[in-house]
Amino acid sequence: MQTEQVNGVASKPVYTPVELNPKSRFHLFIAEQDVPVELQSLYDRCQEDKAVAAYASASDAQLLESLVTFPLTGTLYLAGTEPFLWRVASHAREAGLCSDQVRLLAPISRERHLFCCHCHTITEGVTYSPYACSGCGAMLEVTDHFSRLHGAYFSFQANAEDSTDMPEKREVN
Amino acid sequence: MSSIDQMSVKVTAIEQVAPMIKAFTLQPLEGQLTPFSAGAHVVVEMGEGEQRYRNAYSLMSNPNDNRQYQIAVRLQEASRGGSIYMHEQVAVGDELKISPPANLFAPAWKANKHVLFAGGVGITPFLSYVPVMQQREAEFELHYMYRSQQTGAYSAELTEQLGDACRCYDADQGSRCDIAAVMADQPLGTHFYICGPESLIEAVRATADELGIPAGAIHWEEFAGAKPGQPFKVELSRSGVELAVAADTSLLEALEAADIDIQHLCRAGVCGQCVCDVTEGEIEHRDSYLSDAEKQSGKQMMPCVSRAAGERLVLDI
Ligand code: FES
Repeated sequence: MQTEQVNGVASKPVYTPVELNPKSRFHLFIAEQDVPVELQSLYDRCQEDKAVAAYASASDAQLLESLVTFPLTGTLYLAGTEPFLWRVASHAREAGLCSDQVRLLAPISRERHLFCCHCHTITEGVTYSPYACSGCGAMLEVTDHFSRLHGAYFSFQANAEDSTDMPEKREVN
Repeated sequence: MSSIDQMSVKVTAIEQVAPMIKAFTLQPLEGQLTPFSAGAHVVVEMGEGEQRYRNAYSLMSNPNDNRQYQIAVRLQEASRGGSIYMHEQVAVGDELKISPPANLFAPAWKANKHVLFAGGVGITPFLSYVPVMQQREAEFELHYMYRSQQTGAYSAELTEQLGDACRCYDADQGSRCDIAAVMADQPLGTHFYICGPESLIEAVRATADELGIPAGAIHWEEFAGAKPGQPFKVELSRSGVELAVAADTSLLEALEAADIDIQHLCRAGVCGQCVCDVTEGEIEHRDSYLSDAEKQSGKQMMPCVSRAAGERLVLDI
């Protein structure tokens, strides 16, 4: 479950601990790579009709395939990196799941996908700012504006007035 | 005074569509009406002075038709006057004032399927859904519950027009809708809409909860409006004005009668427009807009439906 941050930047997702949905008749657990302990323990505690799957580098088609038989009364639990969580959540929304049917565990790494507002390339594995765009090479200021659709953070040329004078490198989390 | 521009319309036809329901056709005095979106409503202002009422009614005409609007009014004997006024005082040729359309009950167009539950006069917003859903080729089914001796308007037309997609349940004929049977086994991406009495809304929500259908797939509109309560006094701290709110008047109506301009869209405690800051006095919250925490803090209230729990309130107006 995500709630918006009340202070600061509104769009950075906040991940709260995930519980099983006691009302659901079916539970699907999807992990990006190895099933992390939190997801495994949810799965183990689940008494209902359930399925678990780990998709190491799953294609979009595989992900969609896993949702075709998903029932109206089901809940989907996701574990993995932040871009993975939101990529699957996006497919889930397309398939017709409501946002309260999708529960996201806290991302397993703090690496971000970065969306460059100049060339629209998404750069992966970003942990600090400014960061060089893998598309146009611009040094990008990493913001906390997050797109749930793209699973990426918005970024723009750092210190655009004088791009030879870069702000000090800082970690993002 | 209203905070949004009202439009003057003329009543061009009145039809008794069921024993308790009259339909009114409204045309602009000049120019054209704006098109609206399926599920929209207008606030109709009628009468004058002491006998002035404002009620929200769903638009039930085709949303693309900008020559006229249609609304349906169910006579509520226990009402505080608006529906009685519409039924008894309003005649063809009369002028009324309406707000521009606003929509708090639009279909979730991303849904894979729409299931509509209408109770009595609650059919009205769905009458504006139907042409748009047909135009978009959206999959939908309509479950229409009524009492033919009171409220069964449009059931024949709808059945004829929609065939199997419309199921009618006439309680006066002993026919009941098995809500759980309708809701179970609907496909993923189905959204449910309810317009009707509180008991119907509660029944559908409880069934959804029971079946494990996500709350985000349930949408409802309740235009119960303000219910009467105990009379109380309200003091407006900025102007020093003191007003008496009678048992069958809402606080919003009392403020409006004193020419105090409060924004409003739904007049039913749903939209949040009319929120007022309260500095003193206990509140009886009756809205579904404020969160529980906000209600408990006692600092805000929705004057369209909520009242004083005691004898006096002080508003920061
Ligand atoms: S007018 Fe909508 S909440 Fe009061």
